[in-house]
Amino acid sequence: MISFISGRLLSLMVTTLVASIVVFMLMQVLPGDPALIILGMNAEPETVAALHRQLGFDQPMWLRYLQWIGGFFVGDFGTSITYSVPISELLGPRIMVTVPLALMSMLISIFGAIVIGVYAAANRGKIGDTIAMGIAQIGVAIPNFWLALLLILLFALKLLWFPASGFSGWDDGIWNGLRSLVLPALALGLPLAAILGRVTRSAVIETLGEDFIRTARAKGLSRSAALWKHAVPNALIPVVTIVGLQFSFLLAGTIIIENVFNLPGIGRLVFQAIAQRDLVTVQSLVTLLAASVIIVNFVVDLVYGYLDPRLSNGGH
Amino acid sequence: MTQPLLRMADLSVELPIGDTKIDIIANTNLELGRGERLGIVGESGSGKSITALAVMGLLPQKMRVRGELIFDGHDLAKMSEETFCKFRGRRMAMIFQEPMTALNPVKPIGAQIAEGRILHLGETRADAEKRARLLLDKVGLPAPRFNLDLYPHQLSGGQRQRVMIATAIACEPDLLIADEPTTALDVTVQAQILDLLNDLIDDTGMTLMLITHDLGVVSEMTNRIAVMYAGRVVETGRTDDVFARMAHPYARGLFAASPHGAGLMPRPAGAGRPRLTAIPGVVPDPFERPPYCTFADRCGFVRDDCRQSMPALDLLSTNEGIEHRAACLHPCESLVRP
Repeated sequence: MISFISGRLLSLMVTTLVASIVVFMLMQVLPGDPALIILGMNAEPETVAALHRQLGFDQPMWLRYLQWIGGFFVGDFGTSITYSVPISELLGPRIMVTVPLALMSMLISIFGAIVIGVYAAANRGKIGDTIAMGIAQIGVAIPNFWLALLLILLFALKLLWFPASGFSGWDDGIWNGLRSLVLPALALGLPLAAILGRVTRSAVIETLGEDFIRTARAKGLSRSAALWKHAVPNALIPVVTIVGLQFSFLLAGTIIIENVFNLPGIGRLVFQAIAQRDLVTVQSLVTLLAASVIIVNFVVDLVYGYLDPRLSNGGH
Repeated sequence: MTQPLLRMADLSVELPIGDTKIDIIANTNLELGRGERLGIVGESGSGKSITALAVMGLLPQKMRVRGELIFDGHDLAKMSEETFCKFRGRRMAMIFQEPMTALNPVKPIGAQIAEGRILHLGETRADAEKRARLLLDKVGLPAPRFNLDLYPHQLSGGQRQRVMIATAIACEPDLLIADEPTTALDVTVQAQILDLLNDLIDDTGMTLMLITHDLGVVSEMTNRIAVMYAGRVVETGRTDDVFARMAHPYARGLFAASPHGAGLMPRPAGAGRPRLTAIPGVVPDPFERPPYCTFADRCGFVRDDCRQSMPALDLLSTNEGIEHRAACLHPCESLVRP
């Protein structure tokens, strides 16, 4: 187990490094000069050159990469060009929005997927299965920003249950903070739940055909007890794999959804930084997002070992 | 004879295909007294396993039972699923052919053995696992090498089958159904598992229904036998009697085709062991079973009247209170072995 984890950690570091190189190179070839954006299109060439020196753009590329990535590993993500403050200061309050949002979306995705997938599998071929999979099919087809607009129309403007946009902060109570995240989390999580639900359905159907389900039934377990106690724990293994893969889609989704709901999160920060050619901020944030995807998949690997004892303790 | 533990009266298992229904098992009559050991033999597709699954109420969803299936005074054919769940694992238990896949790979074996006792006897997890420990000892998997927290993948096929046996006998059932319990195992392990089953049945007085196509196993393990062919019982009686006479031509063919049965056949002094003889043809497809004796088209002794009606399971003789019956118009008269 120890060697499994340390091996995983090493590959985690290497993957993050490779991702950072790719992100850095992309930023270099991206059109648009941040100095021109700061100074305006009509700036004097001398002023632009001076700002380039100030921002360090006159140094060779490899040196700039090393300076950036060196700081990255001690928590210094550089200084934002537009805000002129350390990026770590920008991150703090925004993480408090995006991480709860991502967690809620994942919970909605997993919970929704298990409910709809197991229900459809248990009623395979019957009308309930057809309806459940029809709903899932619609969920797969709907883009999350459009779903977001529908949710705002229904729950915010008609029913007035949740705020239509903005984030009130965590200071006046956890519930108020959560309330402003419910609709964005649904908009992000439901389409993912639809995809994951289809995976869950086929995984449960496959395990229901296994011999050990017949053994469980022969012991006297009812159909539903055999389903929940024996089929579902086995079916979760492929489901968890997809959850890890979906996490990157989820982060990409936050960029859109945080803009639709006007949430002050990481996704919105990335979007603004791209629009303003704030190269250092973009490359630091994107590398951080890549690292978080890699870490989540590392956690998924650990969950694997817990779900499937064949992986964590070998045979004799 | 007192009330039998299990009685099948005119039992059929039907499978609807489109607008028609076909009988996978047709009009079977079979009784199983308490403490008896019944062997069911026949080639693949003869309906042995379906018979067992019908008794367990675990038939594939589309199949329906017709006729009577009386277990200890209760008609299983008319029983609600809810009541049936209280019988399964408690009053009747089953061991399956494939130990490699019959255990849940993500649950420890202790929990799998204890599950039935928690469910049926309302024991706490701790009590049930204490019991599971005793059961593991009983099936020859002693501590500390074989702990309750082992997972199936850490055990060999024979060891897994022992765990299956422990699971099946956990609630001390009246009826134990073993569906080819040794077919998937190494030859050396087969004998150990059979010995284990033998001892357990002697100790507990369980009734055994053993399904196999290994005639050697049947002759050692059972006192009564039913030979099945194309969904019907074609010969039944005391194991010794059936082995001695093999009245139905199919039984005779089946025995001649197996090393154990062929060894019982008479042969001239000094002659070597004869080659095993295969039965020509194949088991008729359930869709195309003829309205007459289903074996007629493969039978070496076939006569004209064989193709006119379905022979009943006629009484040949009675020995020690057990009837020897065969469904053949012209049963073989000569004894194979006096």
